[in-house]
Amino acid sequence: MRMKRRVLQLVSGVLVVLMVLALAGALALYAMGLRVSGLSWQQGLLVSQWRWQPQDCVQWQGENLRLDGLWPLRVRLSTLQGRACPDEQASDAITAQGFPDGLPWTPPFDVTVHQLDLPAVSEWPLPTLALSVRQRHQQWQLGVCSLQSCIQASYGQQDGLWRASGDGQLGEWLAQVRGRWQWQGSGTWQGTPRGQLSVMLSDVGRVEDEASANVSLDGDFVGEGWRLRAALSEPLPLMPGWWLEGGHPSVLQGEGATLTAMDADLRMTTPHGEARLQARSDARQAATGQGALTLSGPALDGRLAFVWQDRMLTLPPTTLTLPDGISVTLPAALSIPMALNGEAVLPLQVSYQGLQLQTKASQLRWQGADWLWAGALALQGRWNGYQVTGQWEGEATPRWLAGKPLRLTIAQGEDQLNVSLPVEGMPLVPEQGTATAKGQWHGYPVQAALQFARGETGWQGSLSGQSRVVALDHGGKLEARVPWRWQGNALHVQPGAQLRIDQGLVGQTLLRPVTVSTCQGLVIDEQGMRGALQVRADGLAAARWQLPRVKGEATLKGDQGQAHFTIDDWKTALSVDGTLEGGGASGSLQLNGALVPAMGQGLGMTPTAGRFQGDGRWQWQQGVSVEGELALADGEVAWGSVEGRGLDGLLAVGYEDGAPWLASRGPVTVQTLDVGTPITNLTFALEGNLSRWYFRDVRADVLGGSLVAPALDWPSNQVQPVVISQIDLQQVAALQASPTVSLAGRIGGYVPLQLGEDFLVVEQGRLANEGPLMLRVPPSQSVQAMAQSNQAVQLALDSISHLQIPDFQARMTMDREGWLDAQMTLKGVNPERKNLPVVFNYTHRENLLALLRSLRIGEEITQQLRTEKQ
Amino acid sequence: MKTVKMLIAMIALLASMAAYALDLDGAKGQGLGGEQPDGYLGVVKATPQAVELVSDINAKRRDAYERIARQNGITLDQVARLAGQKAIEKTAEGHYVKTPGGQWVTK
Repeated sequence: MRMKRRVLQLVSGVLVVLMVLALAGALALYAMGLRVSGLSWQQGLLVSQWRWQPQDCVQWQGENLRLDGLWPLRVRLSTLQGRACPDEQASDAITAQGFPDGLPWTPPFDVTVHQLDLPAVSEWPLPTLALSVRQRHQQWQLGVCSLQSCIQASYGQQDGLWRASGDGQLGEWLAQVRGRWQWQGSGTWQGTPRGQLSVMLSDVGRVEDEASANVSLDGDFVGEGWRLRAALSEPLPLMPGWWLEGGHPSVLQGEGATLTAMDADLRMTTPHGEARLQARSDARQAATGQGALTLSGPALDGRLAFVWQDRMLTLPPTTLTLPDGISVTLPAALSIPMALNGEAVLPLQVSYQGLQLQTKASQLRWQGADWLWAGALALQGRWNGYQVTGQWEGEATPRWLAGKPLRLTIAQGEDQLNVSLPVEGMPLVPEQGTATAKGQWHGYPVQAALQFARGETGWQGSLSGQSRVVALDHGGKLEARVPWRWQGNALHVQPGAQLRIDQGLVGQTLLRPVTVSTCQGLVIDEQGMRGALQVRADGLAAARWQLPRVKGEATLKGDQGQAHFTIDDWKTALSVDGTLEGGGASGSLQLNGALVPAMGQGLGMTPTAGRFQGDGRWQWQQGVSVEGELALADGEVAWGSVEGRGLDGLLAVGYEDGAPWLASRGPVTVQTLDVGTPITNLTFALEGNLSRWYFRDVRADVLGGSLVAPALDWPSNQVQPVVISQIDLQQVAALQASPTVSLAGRIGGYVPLQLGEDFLVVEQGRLANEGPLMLRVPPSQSVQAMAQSNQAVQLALDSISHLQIPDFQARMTMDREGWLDAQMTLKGVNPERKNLPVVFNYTHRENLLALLRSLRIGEEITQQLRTEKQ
Repeated sequence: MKTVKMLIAMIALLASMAAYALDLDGAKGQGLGGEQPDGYLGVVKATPQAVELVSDINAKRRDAYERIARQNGITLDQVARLAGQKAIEKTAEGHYVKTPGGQWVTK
């Protein structure tokens, strides 16, 4: 009984220790990065999901890990997925660990992975694999298969012998490549490793190309020494237009990473020309040899000879011409140690389209696959008409850059832009950064910052800049904020991009702020710009006129575009479309709106009602020209007290070389023109350029008669006749506010006018009766008062109180100072005085301008200016 | 303390007025604008504030001229020219006026 209790205590103690050890082991694995979930027991331990994530990066993860037995250990996984994690110590770790001497001892095991996904090698995706590894008595067997490929390998720890073979389809591993691969090898992996490998690539070619070749590779190695023999049966197609062919089998020999001997004659044919590499070791001494890389063809030229001796490769000065006008020059002989670790002075000059890039104090050091370049770069030359200079000094490794900011200066004439890009800590292929630019470009002062970063889909960032519109005399600060993204060879301007120009002056015209933005973004590529731009211009102001706010949207589709703008204060809409062509642009436009008083602010007349509609074509080629038609309907216009109504007409309008013009198509009609005397049915033809106006064929009805003027030009120094006829004196008399005379009959004549820019001259105007006239002076209170004042006046009034007038003549002149001289002669009889003959002469002289000045409106206006000036 | 606060407020008020209050007399006094024979103000020395002020005043003048022209049965230009003569007559010495030949001269 006591014995049994002690056994129980011992077993309990062992179990507790095992549990503690298991718990400690689990905690340690957790701390190292192992995470498991879905732990269960189904005829063995089952882990539904697990992952290995040291330093928070998931390196391996799997599903359905099943433990089928402990001795031998049997593990099955349905999936195992590996991922690449950044590991800065990786290269150092490999160097420190070296190459292992055989495989380590392990207990017997079977590991099966039904679906193995390995991380891509240098962005080269691998196919899904199935893996089985088995070890019994330290005899290893490996099988890795994909859908079309399989590799088997075996290794025995007792004798160190290894053997491997495999075959498969190349297309499964290399996209766009077809052919079959086979390889086999054998050797020992114990002590000094040695072995031989044989690879055969059959019918290798590109998928879309019928040409193919066989490639054979045979190699062997002993320790770090190795030898490789490669042969091509036919020219091998690499890519469209690119072929590789070998004059004879190439033989390479080396020690570790060092190439010690070579015998090769390879020729690469490309669309740009041919590159031929010839190298041959000295027959007496394998470590010595010479060769050359020879370039020839339409875009290739040059020869780079090289010799190697005592593990030192020497290159003489030379220049190689490459495609796209690039040439690379080695200005001095170059000696490069053929060793895993070493350093070399590396002077280089690269030319491209007039640009020369030169290294200074250039030195390259390497250690295994790691390298570091230190020195300076100087860029200078001309590119597309610009003088370009640049400097950079620092160090570069495969992982980062360090040194001074990269500086670039681009200049042309008085334009100069200085660009600076800090590179300290930046990767060799920059991931992000901010370049700044300052200077003057196309006469514009520029200060800008370009922020860039590599995103998941490409480069992206933002451009912010400031400038000033130099065409403006004052103000005109320009600010841009443009978030951007580079994707698929296109620049995407992101929503929210905005360009704003502050107010500024052009001469004496104030340009109010203008904002151009995009709500949905723009795409800029080889086809041009596509997207929509929102435009808001707060208008223009000059001393005598204002253009109200204009807003709208422009839609761009490559070299085509259309825009819709509205001027709300003018109730006007403008639509424009156009196409870029031959360095200019052209298109059509439509305009419609209402005539509103605000349009007349800078004019001598005020449009009060009506509508207009127009369309036309426009062209931009060293200047803007516009031509089209403008229709006016139901227009109403006022010149102070002079009002015109019922204005209709069709005008041809245009603008070219800064000069506007218009011409009527058909007659322009005005139903009524009230100048104090009503004029109706006015028609005329019109031409003008806003500074000179030409009226033709002017006709109107006035006071029961008519008015005709063949031509009226304004301004003009010519005298131009206006013919009036059949004026009804009864209607003339009716114009009196309180009639003192009554008239009957009709008169006519002509009035020669000279219309000056700011004066009116009447030269020898003549009026005469067109039939018998009648004059009556009723005995009104005012007439009786005049008659009682003077006997002569009473006699005269009695004589003309009732006149039948067969002869009426009137003459009038007015000079440019406003002096009006009028003479009138009436010859008739008074039927109420036994047909008393009456001859009545009347002359009048008065300055009409002085008459106007004498009115009190002058003072009234002055007062209003005082009170309404603000 | 209260006096100091009042003083500071007054200085701030005066400063803001100096910054924004470019009025007609101020513009004329600074030689930025002057009267013209056509009845409207002209810009002698262009600044954004001067152009804005002149444009605004001319718009109001035009409205006044038009109303007066309607009331008196004459044209807008006639009223404007009459007003221009009156305005030039009343321009203070030292301020700019435009001659009929188009030249700016100080009165």
